[in-house]
Amino acid sequence: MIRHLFKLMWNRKRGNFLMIVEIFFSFLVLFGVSTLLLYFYTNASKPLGFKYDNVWVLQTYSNDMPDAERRERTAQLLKQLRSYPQIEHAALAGPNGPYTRSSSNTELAHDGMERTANVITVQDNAFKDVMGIEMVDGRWFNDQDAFSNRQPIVVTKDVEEAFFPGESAVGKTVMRGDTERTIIGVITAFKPTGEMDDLTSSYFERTALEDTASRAMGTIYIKIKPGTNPQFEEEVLETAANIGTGWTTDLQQMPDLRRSYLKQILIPMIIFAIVCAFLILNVALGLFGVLWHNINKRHSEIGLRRALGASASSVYKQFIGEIMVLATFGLVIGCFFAVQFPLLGIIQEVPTETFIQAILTSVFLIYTLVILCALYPSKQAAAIHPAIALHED
Amino acid sequence: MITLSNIEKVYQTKTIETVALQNVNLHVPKGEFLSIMGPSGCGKSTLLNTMGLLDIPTSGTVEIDGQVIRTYKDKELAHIRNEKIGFIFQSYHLVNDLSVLDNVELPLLYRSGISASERSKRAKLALEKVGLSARTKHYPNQLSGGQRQRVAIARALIGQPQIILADEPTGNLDSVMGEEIMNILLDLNKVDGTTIVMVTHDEGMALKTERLVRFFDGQQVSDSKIFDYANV
Amino acid sequence: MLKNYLKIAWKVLLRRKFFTFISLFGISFTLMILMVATAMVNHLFGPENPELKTDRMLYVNRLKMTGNGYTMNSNPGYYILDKYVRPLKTPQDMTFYTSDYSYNAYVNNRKLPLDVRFTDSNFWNVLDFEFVEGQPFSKGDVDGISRVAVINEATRQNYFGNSTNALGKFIEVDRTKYKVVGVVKNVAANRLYTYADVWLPYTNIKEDYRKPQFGGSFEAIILANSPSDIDNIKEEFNQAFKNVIIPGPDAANYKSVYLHADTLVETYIRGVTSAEGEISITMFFTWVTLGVLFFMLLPTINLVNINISRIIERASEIGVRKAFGASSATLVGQFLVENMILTLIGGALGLLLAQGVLAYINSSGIIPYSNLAINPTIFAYSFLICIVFGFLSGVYPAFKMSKLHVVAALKGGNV
Repeated sequence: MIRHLFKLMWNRKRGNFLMIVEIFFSFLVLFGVSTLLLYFYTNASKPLGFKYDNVWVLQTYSNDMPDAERRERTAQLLKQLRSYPQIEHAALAGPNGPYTRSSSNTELAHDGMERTANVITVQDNAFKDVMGIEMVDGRWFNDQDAFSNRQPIVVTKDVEEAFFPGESAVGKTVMRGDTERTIIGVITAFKPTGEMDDLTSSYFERTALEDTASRAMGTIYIKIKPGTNPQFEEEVLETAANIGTGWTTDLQQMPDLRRSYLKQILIPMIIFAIVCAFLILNVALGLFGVLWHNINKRHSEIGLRRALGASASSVYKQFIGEIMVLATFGLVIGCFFAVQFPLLGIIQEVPTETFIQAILTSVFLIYTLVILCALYPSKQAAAIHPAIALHED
Repeated sequence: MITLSNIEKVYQTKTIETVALQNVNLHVPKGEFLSIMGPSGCGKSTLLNTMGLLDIPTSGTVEIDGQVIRTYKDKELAHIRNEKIGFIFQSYHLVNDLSVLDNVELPLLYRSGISASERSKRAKLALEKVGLSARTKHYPNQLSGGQRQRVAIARALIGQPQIILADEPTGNLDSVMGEEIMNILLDLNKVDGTTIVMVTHDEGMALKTERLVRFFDGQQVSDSKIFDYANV
Repeated sequence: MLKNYLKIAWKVLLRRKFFTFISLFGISFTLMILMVATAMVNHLFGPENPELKTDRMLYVNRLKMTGNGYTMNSNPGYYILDKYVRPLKTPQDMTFYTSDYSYNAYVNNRKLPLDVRFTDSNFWNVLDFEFVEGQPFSKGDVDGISRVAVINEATRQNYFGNSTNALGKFIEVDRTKYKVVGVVKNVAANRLYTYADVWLPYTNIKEDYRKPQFGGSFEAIILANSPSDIDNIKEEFNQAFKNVIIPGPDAANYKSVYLHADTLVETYIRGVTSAEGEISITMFFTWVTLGVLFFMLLPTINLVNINISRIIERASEIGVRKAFGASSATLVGQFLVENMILTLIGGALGLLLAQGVLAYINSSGIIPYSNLAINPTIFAYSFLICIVFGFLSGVYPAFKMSKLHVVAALKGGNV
């Protein structure tokens, strides 16, 4: 029967050409949307590796304050902040913490392999506690690490798996540029660029505020006790202003930063999805109308098939089958174009698996869609009385 | 082979009730070539449809090949049509987008357990029987009316039915082609012993058959044997 | 004749309600999306408060420096603008100001995020802000480092409550109090280069913004005497940047400096493509047109498909008309009129839908202070889109119809 339907639809390809074209373009649209959604979904399903709740980000810009004084004041501010009962932990680090829209990455290399990773510089040992980072292996930084000539770093699990599959990375060295770094600890994950980003690897390095050879950091990450009054923000800013005279400061809550980060990605995505959903709905309604009309044109054929021994249900199945065959024609052309994306590597960021998943999803959706469009018209076709249909021409 | 008892068929619409068949009792023995005549709208087609299980009588019973049709379940009726009955229509009813061979194969598609190669082998045999072996790859609109009707006959034959129901098979054809078609049908009846019921407007064609039943206003008005049948 | 066409068309549309519904749905939503998109584009690039003279404006806001494997993208600093842009002869006027800084103000223990720009006094001449009360700060205020501020209506509402008078009151930004001298109408946040909640004299910037380095956080708008002068300014601008000497420590890392005076559309394109040379506007519009056509492709094919079904359904009617002497041209004309009417009805519905969507976007705060609306220009574009759409979706079916054979049509045969 399937062979028969293919033959029939192939011979009717001229009449059904527009429907095939419509299915082809609908497939491309669905492929686009599902690639995008799956890409973000895949990214979002990888662990963040930190907790943003009750974390505040205090940015300080020392403006024209001399460096030595700045370091001194920053240390003073940290000490003061840590003395507040509302503050659980406070950490000094680089400006590229989670959701800050500031990012910095570099290549790590080992044994001929290269891997892009976020670099986060911390200037004390509290960052792990502020962000709720979990260790898998080895240890987090201590005060000596800033002055160690082994250049100690802490890496995420996926860096370990990439460079040292099946073994522990602790104690091993990797290259950054032409200098060597020693891995002292491995953490579950850390994705400071946010859940929608595809860069999962990160590593931390430790410098010291009192070490004038390394740049002084100005961003303080603060873990607040749950239930702290939001007005405490003002007190923190007051403290920062009193200690850092002439500084410019900015305090943001990480959940707010996250919200605006997500908004920026989700709103265009939602608009895109809505527009595409409209296109598909439009096509669905059109297919429905055209199928309905086509069936009205084929009364005598239906009558004939019934006379030759087709039951109502086989007529029903035939019409569903026909549209699936048509869809297959459109999908074959569509898939030909879609597979070019992973084959030619047109969009590097999106991994091949995501493209394949997107193709499968779109194929499934197209079949579902055409079947849904064909259900009612096919039911109508099956209900046509054979005796009447045969004498209608 | 076919026995109709007390058949009544009433078409009901909101306003009008039309009686298409009234108290029809007809027995068609195995191997008979029966023709049915009557003016337009006399119920001939309804009668043929009832025999072919395409239409369900309002009352009365239909018996096909010794089997009383008690069920009106669509699937079972379809099965009986497929196994036992072949149809031929005035307007051929070929599927334009299928080749001659594919058209002939159609009934076998609704029968389970027949392989594609078997289907095409049998379709070729059936086409040979109607003298169209050379046209298997053609499409219906490339054929003349007589050729199309021969394709339709091949299609009716392929399932090796015991009964063929023909609804004005020569109605759309000129006399030469009509003659040709008629000869094929007669051959089928004589050689293969297929029971044939044919509705026709053409007295000449009817006279070539064994028995003629006339209908008027849904009722059977005459039933006669045609004696020179054997001499044709 | 036309009246007869219209009458027939109307009847045909009513006769096949389901097909009419599908067609109208497709047409109205397609046109709605296009109208909303047009309104958005206009809101981004068109003349809008306070950038009313966009056809005479050039924006300088993206500095790129490259060399030795380093790349830096930032705003230009005050130094480079002052040294190379200020001496330009062709512009009528220019303004230097910073990109927006965000600060938190606290009002009654509530956090109020404020976007702040530091500007010169020319800012108020080059741009056409609508003052609800007070006036801009003057050159004297800027030179004298006055602690004065111009705020928008929303900030007046949020900071001072429902009072309509904020003049002379103080607003605290980054722990410094500024006296409000003017209140302006809200500027939509998608006006990336002028939007802010608070505008302050740039001399109030705490860090040393004059230090000799190219990067910084400034931008500039250059105003031309007339739209035709734009190219001359660009030429003089590019000439001025031919031989720049990179000052300070950057000289070691960077070799090339890219800074451009772009029209508003060009700044967006540069933002997306991060192009180093001149932007080709034609190329951009070609892509936009292709994008729009691609978007319209699916609804058009859909409509063509439905239209063909409609025609086949009416094949016998067409056959009768032909048999009684109607020419193909008449029938095709009738069909095109019919399709155009359908498109225009769809367009009208689309316009209503678009109004609704725009009102929703304005009230949702997705774009702060947005004021999206359908203006006569957009209406004209929409009308044009309708006509193109109606034509595209009608032509092929009409062609098929003209090919219809009388005999086949009378038999209700295939088209």
